[in-house]
Amino acid sequence: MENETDDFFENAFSMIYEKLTSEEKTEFNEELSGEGLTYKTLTSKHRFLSLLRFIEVKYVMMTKWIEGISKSLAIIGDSHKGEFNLTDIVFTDAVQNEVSFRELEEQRHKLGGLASSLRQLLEQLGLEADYQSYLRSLGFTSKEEYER
Amino acid sequence: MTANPRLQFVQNFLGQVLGVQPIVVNGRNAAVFELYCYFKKVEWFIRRGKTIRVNNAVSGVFRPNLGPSASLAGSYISLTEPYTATFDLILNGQFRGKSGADHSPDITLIESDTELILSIYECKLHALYLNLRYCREFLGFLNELRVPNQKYISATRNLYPELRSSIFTSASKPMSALQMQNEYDFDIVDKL
Repeated sequence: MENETDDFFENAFSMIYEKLTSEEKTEFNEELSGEGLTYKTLTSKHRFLSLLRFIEVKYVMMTKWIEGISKSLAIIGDSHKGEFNLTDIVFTDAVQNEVSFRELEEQRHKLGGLASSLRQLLEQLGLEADYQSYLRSLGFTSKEEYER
Repeated sequence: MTANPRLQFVQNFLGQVLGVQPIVVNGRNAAVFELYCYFKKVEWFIRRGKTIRVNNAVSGVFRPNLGPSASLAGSYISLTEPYTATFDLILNGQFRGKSGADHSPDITLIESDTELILSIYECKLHALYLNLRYCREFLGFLNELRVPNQKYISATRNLYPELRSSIFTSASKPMSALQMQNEYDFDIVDKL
């Protein structure tokens, strides 16, 4: 049974990890090495939970930041009574594509959908308590941190 | 389609991940995190009574530097208040260090008239712990860019004493990072 579980986590990890971009794989391994770990030295379950956390921060939390920027812009606008009027924020990404913040705002519901999928996956796999415990081990002590 | 139902759940989740991957890749998530930290800092000033002026925005579009560039090349925000100096909050401006090398902190607060650097802010988008090497790198920035002691700044520039140079991170700060921030007078704002 133990081996079956290990096999599951190893397979599940590989399934997601192999689809990360090469840059993301490097970032993930650097993050683990910052803990003095490599993904080969972790238990297969810990490694899988680390990968889910990585996905949560790199993908899902963009929703929170997009909404945070929108709120900041509204607060700045309110305080300046029409004198502050930014129609968009445009930046170039690492491959020199122009990215419009307003377009990202429109796409943020897709990222929000991923948050629900992550919660659903944890429920389906019976890993909610393990994930909470893992987050607490990282210093995220409140339930709100997980539910943001 | 996989035969193991538990793996099928993972496969379904992976489908969702791949569906949104184009939104976040190529450093877009890091750029959005940096902008989030930047506008939170602007908001922080607004709440303390500063008036802002947007510079270098064309037709209302804010185009910040998101790679190293001349300090005032992209869009940036100036913070003003009657009877005090004006400050500029710059994304990825390029500044010459003591050694003569150029450096680009993610966010820099300078005094407009003198271009004196008052505070710097680094944005670290990480998932687990903040690696201590980023604290060491930050100390190098503070030293190279001659960022003054915050007590001196708050006394001479009428700035708030809590306006310290900071690392902003989505990760958690380990205890040893806390010790470094206390020893060297900078902040680490974590779990963002």
